[in-house]
Amino acid sequence: MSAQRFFTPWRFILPGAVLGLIILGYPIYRAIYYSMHSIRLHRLGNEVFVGIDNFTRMLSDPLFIRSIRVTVVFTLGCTILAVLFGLTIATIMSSRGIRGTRQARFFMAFFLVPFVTTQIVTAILGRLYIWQSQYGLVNFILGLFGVERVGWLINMQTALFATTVTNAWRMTPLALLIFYAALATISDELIESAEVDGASTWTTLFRIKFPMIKFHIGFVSLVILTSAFREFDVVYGLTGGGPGRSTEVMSVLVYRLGVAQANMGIANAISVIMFVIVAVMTIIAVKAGKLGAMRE
Amino acid sequence: MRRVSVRVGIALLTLFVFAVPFVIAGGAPEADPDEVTLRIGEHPGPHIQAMEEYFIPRYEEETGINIEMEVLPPDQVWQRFMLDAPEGDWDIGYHSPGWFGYFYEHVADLTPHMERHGFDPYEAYSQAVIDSHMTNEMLRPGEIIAIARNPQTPFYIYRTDWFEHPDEREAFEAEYGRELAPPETWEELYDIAEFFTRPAGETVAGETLEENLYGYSASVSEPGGMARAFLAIVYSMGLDGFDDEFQTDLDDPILLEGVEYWTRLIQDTFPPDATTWDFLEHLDFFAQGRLASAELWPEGVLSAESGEAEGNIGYATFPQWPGNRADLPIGRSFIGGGGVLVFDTPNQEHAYDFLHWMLVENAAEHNRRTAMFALEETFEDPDVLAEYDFYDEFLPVFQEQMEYAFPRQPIAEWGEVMYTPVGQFAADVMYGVESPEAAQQRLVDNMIEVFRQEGYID
Repeated sequence: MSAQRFFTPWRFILPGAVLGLIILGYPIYRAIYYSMHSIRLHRLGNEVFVGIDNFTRMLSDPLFIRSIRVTVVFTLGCTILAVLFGLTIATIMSSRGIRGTRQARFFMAFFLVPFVTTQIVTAILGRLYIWQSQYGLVNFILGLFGVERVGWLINMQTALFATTVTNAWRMTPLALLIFYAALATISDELIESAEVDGASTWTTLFRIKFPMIKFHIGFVSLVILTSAFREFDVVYGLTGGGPGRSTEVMSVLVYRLGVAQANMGIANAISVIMFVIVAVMTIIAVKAGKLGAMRE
Repeated sequence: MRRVSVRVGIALLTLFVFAVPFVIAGGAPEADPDEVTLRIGEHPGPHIQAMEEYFIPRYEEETGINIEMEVLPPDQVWQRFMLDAPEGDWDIGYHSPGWFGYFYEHVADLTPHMERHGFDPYEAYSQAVIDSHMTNEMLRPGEIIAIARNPQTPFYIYRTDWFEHPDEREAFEAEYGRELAPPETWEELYDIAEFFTRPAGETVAGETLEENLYGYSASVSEPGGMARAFLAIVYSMGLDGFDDEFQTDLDDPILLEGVEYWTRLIQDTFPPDATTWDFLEHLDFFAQGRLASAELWPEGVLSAESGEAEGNIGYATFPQWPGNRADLPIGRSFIGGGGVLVFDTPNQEHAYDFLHWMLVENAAEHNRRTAMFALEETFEDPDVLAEYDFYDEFLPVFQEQMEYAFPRQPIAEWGEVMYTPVGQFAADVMYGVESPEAAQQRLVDNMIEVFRQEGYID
C-alpha cells in the first residue's frame, strides 16, 4: 500500500477526529483524572492524588451498591415498558385500515408529545398532575374503581415504579417512531399470503412482523437502555432520589455527592464506573447485533 | 532617544492637565444620578412585590436613579453571584450567610457607608443578628458585610381554640396526667401531637372531622426541608456541629436519641405529604384546620394566620431538650433568612443609600408590606404593632426565640458539612436506609473529610 493511499483517509477523518477528541476525549480524560484525586467542587486545582481510593471506597459503600440496584431496576423497567408500549402502539397504528388515515396521523402526532417535552417538564407534570396523591390523574382513575388513594411518590414501595413508568412514557415515542417506520416496510402482500395460508393475527405478528423488525427492536432497546441508565432530570425532578433513596439512581447520587456535597473526586469515580458500564453494554449489544446479522 | 523623551514629556503634560482639576475637585466626579443604574440580584420572597410596586418606583422618582431588579431562582443565586460578581454585574445582592464564602472578595465593606449616614448597626440590631447576618469574622474581619432584612428562627404555633376547649383539656389530662398547654419539653410536644392526631370521623373541639387531623408538622422534603426542620432538634440538644477548632460534636450519643425522637414524631404525627413539602407548605395545611400545632418560620406567619386558623393561633418558643449539652432553658434552631449586600462596584455608595432608605429610614413601611423584621426598634414600634392583632403575641415570642437562636459558623462549607448531610442523616434513619449508628458515622466522616480537604484540620 502506498503512503498516499494510507494517509488519504486519515486526512478526511482528521477534522472530525480532532473535534471528537476535544468534545468527548477531554471531558472523559478530566473525569478519569479527577476520579483519582481528592478534590472539592469549589477548589478545582487543589487536588491531591489518591490513586484508586475513590473507587475502592465507593465499591464498598452500601449506598453506592444500593444505587446500582435501583439503577438496574429503573433501566430495565424503562426499556421493557417503552419497547412494549412502542411495539403495541406501532402495531396498531400500522395495521391495515388504520395506517394512513387522518385519525392515525392525529394520534401519531399526539403520541409524540412526550418525546418533544423537556425532561424536567415531564417530571413536574408527573409530580403535580399524574402521581400526586390527592389530585393526581392516576389516583383519580383508581378512585373510580373504588381503590384507596396511593401516595405514589411518598412511599418507598411505589416511588420507583412511578418514576420508571414516567420515564418509559417519555421514551415510548422513540420506540413508536422507529417501529412504525420498520413495520411500514413489510409488504401487505406478505401478510395477505400468510393469512391466505391460515395464519392468525398473532401468528403474523410473532412469526412474520416482529422477526422482521428484530434488529430495530434491538437498536431501540440499546438506545433506551443507555439513555435510561444515565437518566437524571426525570428522576430528580420527580422524586429528588427519595423517599429514603428508593429512587436514587447513580446519576442522582453523582449529583448529590458532587454538587450538593462538593466531593468531586467521588462523584467522578462514580461517573467513570457508569461510563465503563455503558461502554460494555454498548459493545455487547453491537457484537450481538453483528453475530445475529451474520447468522442471517 | 530624543524622540522617546519627547513622548514621555507629552504624556506627563497630558496627565498634569487632566489630573490637576481632578485633584482639586476632590476625587472622582460623582456620577449624575440620572445616569446611575443599580442592578439588584434578588431571592424570591414576600419582599419582591413590595420592592417592585412601592420602594423601587418611589426611590427612582425621588432620586432619578434607575434600578433594575432580577429575581433569581433560589438554587442559582449563589452560583450567579460567584460567577458574575468578579465582572461587577451586580450592585446589590441577596445575602444568605451560608453562601457568602463563594464571593466574599467582591463584597463592599458597609462600615464607611453606615458612618456617612450616622447609623450604628450595633445599636440597631441584636447581637445574634449582627453575628449571623451582618459580619463574618473569618473571611472579612472587622467589617459590616450586609444589612439584615429578615433574620429569623422558627418556633412553635398551636390552635388556641382547640387547646382551650374543655373537652380536649379534660381528655388530655385524663390521658397524660397534666394540663393541656404549650409544651415545655420536646417529649411533651410529641404527646400533644400524638393526642391530636385523629382519623376523619372523630371529633376535635366538638366538631366532627371530615378529614384526618395531624398533631404537628414542618415541611420535611429531602434533604433541604428535612435539614431545616431537624436542625431544630440538633441545636436544641445543645450541639453546635463543630467548634472553633473544627472539632465535631455530632459523634455525641445524644444525636441518636434525637434522631430516634424525630423519626417517631414524623411517623406518628406528621401528615404523609409533609415529606414532599420543602419549606412553608405545611402552614397552608395548618390554615386549613388539618394541624393542631406546627413549626413556624416567622416569614410564614401570614400564611398561618389565614383560613380556619386565623385569630386562633398561640405562639410559644420551642420546648427544651432536657439534658441538652448547652444547658439551654428552651429549644432553638439556627438563624435563617437573609439580608442584602453591596458589591464593590463604582455604584456602591448609591447602592447602600438605596438600602438604607428602604430598610432603615422606611423600616416601618417595609415591615408593614413584607412582615419581615430585623431592626430591634421595629419589634416595639406602635405603628408596626397596630398592623395586625396577632403581632402583640407573635413579636415577643419571635424576639425571645431569636435570643437563643444559633448563628451558623461563618464558613463557606457549612452547607456541605451541616445542612445537606444532617438532612440526609435524618432521612436515611427515618426511612431505614442505614442504621442510626452507621448514618451518624457517615455524617461525622464527611465533616472530617471536608475539613481536612479545606485545610482546617490536619
